[in-house]
Amino acid sequence: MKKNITILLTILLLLFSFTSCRQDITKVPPTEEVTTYAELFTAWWDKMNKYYVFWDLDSPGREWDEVYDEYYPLFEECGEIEGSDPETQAKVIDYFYDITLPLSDSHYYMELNLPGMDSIRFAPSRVRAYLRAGLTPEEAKDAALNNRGSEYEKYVNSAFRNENTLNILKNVFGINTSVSGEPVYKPFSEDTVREGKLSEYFTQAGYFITPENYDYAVDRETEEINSFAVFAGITEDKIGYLAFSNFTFSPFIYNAMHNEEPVGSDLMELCNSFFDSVTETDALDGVIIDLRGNGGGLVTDLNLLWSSFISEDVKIAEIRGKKIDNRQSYSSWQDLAIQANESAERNFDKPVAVLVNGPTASCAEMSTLFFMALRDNHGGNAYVIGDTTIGAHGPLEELGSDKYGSGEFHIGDLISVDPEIYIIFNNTPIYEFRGYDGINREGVGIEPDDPSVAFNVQEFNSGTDARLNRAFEWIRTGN
Amino acid sequence: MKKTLIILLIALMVPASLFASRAGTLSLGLEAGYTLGLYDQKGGSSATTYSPGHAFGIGVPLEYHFTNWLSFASGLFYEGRAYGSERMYEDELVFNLRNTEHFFDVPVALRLSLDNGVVRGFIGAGVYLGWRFRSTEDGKSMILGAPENTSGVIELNPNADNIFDSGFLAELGGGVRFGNRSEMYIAARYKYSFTALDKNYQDNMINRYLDAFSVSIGYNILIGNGDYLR
Repeated sequence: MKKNITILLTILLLLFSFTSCRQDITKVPPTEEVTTYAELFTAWWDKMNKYYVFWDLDSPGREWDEVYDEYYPLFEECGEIEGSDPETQAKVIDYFYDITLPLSDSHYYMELNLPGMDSIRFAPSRVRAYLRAGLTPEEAKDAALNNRGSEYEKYVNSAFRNENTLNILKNVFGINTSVSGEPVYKPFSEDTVREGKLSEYFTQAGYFITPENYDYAVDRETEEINSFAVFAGITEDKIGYLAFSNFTFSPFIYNAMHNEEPVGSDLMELCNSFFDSVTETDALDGVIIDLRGNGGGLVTDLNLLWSSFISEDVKIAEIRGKKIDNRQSYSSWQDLAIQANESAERNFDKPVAVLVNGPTASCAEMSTLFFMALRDNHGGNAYVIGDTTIGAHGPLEELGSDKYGSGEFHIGDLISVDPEIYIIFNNTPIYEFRGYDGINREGVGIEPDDPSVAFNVQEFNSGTDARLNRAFEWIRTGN
Repeated sequence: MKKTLIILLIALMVPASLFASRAGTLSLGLEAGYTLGLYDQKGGSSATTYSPGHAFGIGVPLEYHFTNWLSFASGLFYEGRAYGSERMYEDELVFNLRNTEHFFDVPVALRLSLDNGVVRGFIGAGVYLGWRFRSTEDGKSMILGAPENTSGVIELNPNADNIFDSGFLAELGGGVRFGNRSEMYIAARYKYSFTALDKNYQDNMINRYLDAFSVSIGYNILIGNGDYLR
């Protein structure tokens, strides 16, 4: 019995001693009270560890630790932030540029606000676009860091700069897109097609264009949008066409439903006119969704826009966030689906041509995936025409890291106007995102089914839109 | 109830040596029970709070008696080890999830028994080896601004997740024998994991451990030529 007690005591002793085997983190987390470049780098590197969500792509092993080991001594050599000379600051910017360049996240940009210099912003996806267009790495770096993209116009993919909704409306349809003061709204009607060259394409059309930097009210709070243009038309042979510059529908529609704001009511009327045709059986024999130059916007718009096309929910993607602060500590993948419209009687099974190009991003890419999923899994018939998209899929949320433990973050006081505060602002999504088919296209983009039609800026500026013509051709002929 | 307990204690106090030796007997059984997962995290954000989680286990236990009082216990067990995680942001729920790590375990323990041939008490200690084959979560999460019911399988990454687990095992139990070849028992076990859930794949690694306390009921049958009352 005594022996048994001894054994029991030994067991208990062992149990308590094992508690000390569990290791706490090896480094003290860095403070945000940074005074040296080495501290600034450490704070940023650590927050990237915690809040960046694409580590399975960008550091499947210890690559990110190697970045720290390589660059920490270089930042240490740069010394104190306060009073640093322009040469040192240029080095710091170079280091951050080189470190961030391989990141897959196409939403990612870093904004640096160092003392005594204008704030600088650079994005790996923009550099990828420059490289894809034929710039050398040195030229791409110069274009990105010194904001001299326009000086490389002869190299830069002309579609990247020119092929977007406003230019399509102006060049191809002859609509005056210069808007000032209040938004311009032309109802969806036969009268509108008398304008410009619209009658060459459509029998009914309508559009809504806001001025640049337009302030609109959401629950008495004013927000600003750069510019927002929506165009919808139907051809004589019942082909619907929808183009819009970004995803900013929700606030207007919300206003229309809750505040009876005339601006929101106009846009809602235009949307209803178009989407009623989608829902109505045999009203349309095909649809063209033009997402060229569309850089995305509000995720809430996705349901608003595409639910008319479906009578059953359509999974477009899977998303996952971070569970804890380790790089590869992910939650489960959750389905992201477009909810069906209750009034839709069937999934839209007529041909849908989706036009995309290099700057097509985020919600615009999610929308492309919606039509691909409709085709692949729900009896739809979609065809993607144009260029490979940018590959920026994860959803963003303002300072998401505070809430979700992933996403956008900053180092220093973002809203302070004190020039002594040193800032890194880091734009990155809260969730990792992969398509309905399980393929992660972040940083890679969506390849079109038909990339054959090249963009010709001269033709486009003179009113010929070869890619739009190809979309009409595919719907009319099936080839 | 009180009377039953007194009878049980008296029965256990009868010296086991009064009975014949059962050295060399082997028993095989089936058991199932409740598991309380105990999550332990070293470092990391304090924005998420963790709580013990409820799950269940089931297994095929094996016990080999070296002597009347010393035996070797092992078997093959499935065990769910769960924990709760909750994150709030400005009074808004970000997630409230029950996370369950699913293991196949092989315990290896030495067991000391005291019995009178009918009623047995035992205490044991050893180690266990585990294989984590699945990780799931269910509950509520904020998905794109709206709380959604969440249920899913977390992809286990062989480069980042520790698929194999090992730890210390302690147990305490008692059983009643039916006839000379079967026994019904109840056992309480505590498993203390030596292995973090994540591999040490980065600097500033936050280590997470998942221990478990379980209570199981089982039924053993002697196999071969053994006899509990021999």
